[in-house]
Amino acid sequence: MGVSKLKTPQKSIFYDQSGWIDFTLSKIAMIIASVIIIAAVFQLAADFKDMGYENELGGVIALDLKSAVDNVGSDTFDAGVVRTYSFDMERFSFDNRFEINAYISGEYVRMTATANDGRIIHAIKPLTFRVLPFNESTLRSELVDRFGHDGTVDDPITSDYTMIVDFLSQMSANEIILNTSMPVYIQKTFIYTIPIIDTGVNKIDYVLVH
Amino acid sequence: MIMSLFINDERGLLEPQNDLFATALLVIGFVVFAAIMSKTYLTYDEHSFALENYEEASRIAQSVASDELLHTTSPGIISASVLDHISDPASGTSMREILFSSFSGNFEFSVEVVTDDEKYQWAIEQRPIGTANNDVIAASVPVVIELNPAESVAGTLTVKMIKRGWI
Repeated sequence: MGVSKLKTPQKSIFYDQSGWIDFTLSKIAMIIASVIIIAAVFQLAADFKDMGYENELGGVIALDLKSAVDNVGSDTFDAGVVRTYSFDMERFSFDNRFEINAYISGEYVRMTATANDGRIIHAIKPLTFRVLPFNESTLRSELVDRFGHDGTVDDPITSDYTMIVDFLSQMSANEIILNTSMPVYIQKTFIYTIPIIDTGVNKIDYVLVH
Repeated sequence: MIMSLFINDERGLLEPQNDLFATALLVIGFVVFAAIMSKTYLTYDEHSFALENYEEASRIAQSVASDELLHTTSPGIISASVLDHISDPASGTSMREILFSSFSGNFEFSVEVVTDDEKYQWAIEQRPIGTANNDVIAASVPVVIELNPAESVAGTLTVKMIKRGWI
């Protein structure tokens, strides 16, 4: 019964048995869909690889430096001791196709990995403690230039506490580049001021990174 | 006899489109796979964010607990009178500024000190921060609080960090 129905010529497209348009359309659709899916899979794989690099750059390398800086910052009895931090790039999956740069400012650590093809991967980690991206002698000379005192225990600054903090915040706003093949020096320092009324406190602590 | 079962339908209406359905299924499968992968990554990211910030909060808690500003009477013991003063919104402004001065402005956090018997509690906030609609990550360190020269009690210093934005 079904066979006899099929053999009956019908005008409706539902009974058009040549099927060439259906065939062509479905094949074209399938080819397009396959191309899209294959492209998406490749894109996803590339994204995951980039994400892996990004995670390693931010979650491991930048975090490592940030932790080293913050550990010095959280140590209250460590003024004057200089600690060193070395970027041990051989531990990581970045090979010589990437050029790694590290930057630090008073607020954050930033890492960039520039690939041979110009692609740049960024990672930023905010710092917990106040950081000054220069060495102690620069700090002292800047304080002498600005306040007339170097802020050591023998020569405390007589200006208002907020003026000192504001001045140093401005100074630390610009990031500096750190040489990843050289050790980074991290040091805690105190800036002494005249005792602040009702607190008896006369020093502000900073972490120097250079 | 009219066969209504689709397996006996010989008109071939669906056959040329079989690969369309197969492709549609494949696309749906791929989208589901991508969605699961994204969800997994987001969960991982959230966990690593929480872990990283817990480390941060713990470091801040240790730093605050060892700040000599709070230790005016004996080293290592937090003075209740200093806590009274610093937690007072009106009079403790300059002390709070000093306490928070060593921290960069990247993190918003408040400090709470509670005695173990919960009789005394102090909240120190640099500026009023709402925790209602934000995730909070907290870390605590044990401290000793001197209530008066004759009595010291054990307590906990907690740093509550507010999660805001993308950092």
